[in-house]
Amino acid sequence: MRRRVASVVSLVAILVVLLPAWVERDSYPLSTYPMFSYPRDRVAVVDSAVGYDATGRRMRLTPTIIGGGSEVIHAAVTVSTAIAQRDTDALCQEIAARAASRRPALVRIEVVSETHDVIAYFDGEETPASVVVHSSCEVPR
Amino acid sequence: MSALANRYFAPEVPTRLAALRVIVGLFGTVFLAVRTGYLFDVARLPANRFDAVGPLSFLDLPLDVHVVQGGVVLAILLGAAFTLGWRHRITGPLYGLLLVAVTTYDNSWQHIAHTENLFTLHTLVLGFTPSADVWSLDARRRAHASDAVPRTDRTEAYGWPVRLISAITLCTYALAGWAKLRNGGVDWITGDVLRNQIAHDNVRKALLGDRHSPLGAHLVRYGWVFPPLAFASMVVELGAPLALLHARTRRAWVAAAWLFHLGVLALMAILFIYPLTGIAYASFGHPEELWQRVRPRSRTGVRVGALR
Repeated sequence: MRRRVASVVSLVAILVVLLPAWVERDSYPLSTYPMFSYPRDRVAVVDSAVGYDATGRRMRLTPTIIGGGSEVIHAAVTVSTAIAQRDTDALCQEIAARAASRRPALVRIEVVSETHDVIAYFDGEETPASVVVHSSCEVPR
Repeated sequence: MSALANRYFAPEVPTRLAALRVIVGLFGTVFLAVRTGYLFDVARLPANRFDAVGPLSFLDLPLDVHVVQGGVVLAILLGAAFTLGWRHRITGPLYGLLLVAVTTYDNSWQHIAHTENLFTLHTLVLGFTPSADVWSLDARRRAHASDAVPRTDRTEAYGWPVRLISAITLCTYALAGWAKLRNGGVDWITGDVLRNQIAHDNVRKALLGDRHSPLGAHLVRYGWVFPPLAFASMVVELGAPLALLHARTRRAWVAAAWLFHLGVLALMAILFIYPLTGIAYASFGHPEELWQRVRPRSRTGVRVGALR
């Protein structure tokens, strides 16, 4: 009897873990584990946010300022989702509020999409082929 | 089929399941404690960033920050109780379910991280099975309450949960391999998919102000490096079920899977801490022997501590 129960429990548990592959839906805690599985071109659009200081110098921000948490992929997805949902003005304000206490001080934030050759980038070609500015906002003082 | 069933239900010593409870419980408790700052930070994000997944899909709005903070603290306390084996029949399932809730909430901010799935699933199995019959406060209490002999006998009840944990581990790797084949096709192995993925991930980190992998950034210049790495990754992931065949293939697969994660760390600066600590693979070995090796000896040289 106990073995029968354990068999059913085990079988159901394994089928449930495998289920996302059948329904092709990634979720949590059950997942299709699609990390890095999709094809990517070497020329890619990377969504990000940048800051400018009073002299107009462009500066990179941190994942914590961009996404509100320390994880870089969370920050990246936050920006991409805001762009897809045309919600970048709100995100820009959010980032500006988080950047207010940053030193050296920033005066402006931009939510951007930069196009890079991701292979050539590490050969020194760090200047993006194109930049689309989705939103721009002042950093509160 | 019956041979497979006999292997799956082969009797096992209770200490193996208990050892898994201790190390997986300790991992989860420390993980939650270290991650508290991040969890509290994301709990304060604006409601429009909230996108509930899985068992929390019914939530339209984020929970009050204080509820999240209370839930995380309670999960840490229950994690400690789970690790120590205190009132396991209650705290085991409670901790498993609360861990699912907390980590689901963590993944409900527009990004599913895939780093917490496996240890959460392992915890659920350990929480609902008799993993605290020995090496636990429950066992100590029982021993004090009666003259009962500590449970040291091999039974089916202590064997199949260990194998279920292993089976779940293998399924997750096979799923990841299948996803690459389905989404990337054969080109994932023969083409530039892996190279571009690694380059893209490192550029993204650089542009978003995070640390990237210098080794990955250097190697993406050489296209020939990546098809063999992609093939090896695919063998590890799709070949995971081979670990069921024989002890030797099991050891080889565990070593290969660990090296795979080491490679991900080296090339992409992504730390999959559960597999890299080896805890994800503990069910494939004899974790109970670790304790027997490290526990202190008495003055007479005899190892102390009964199998409770």
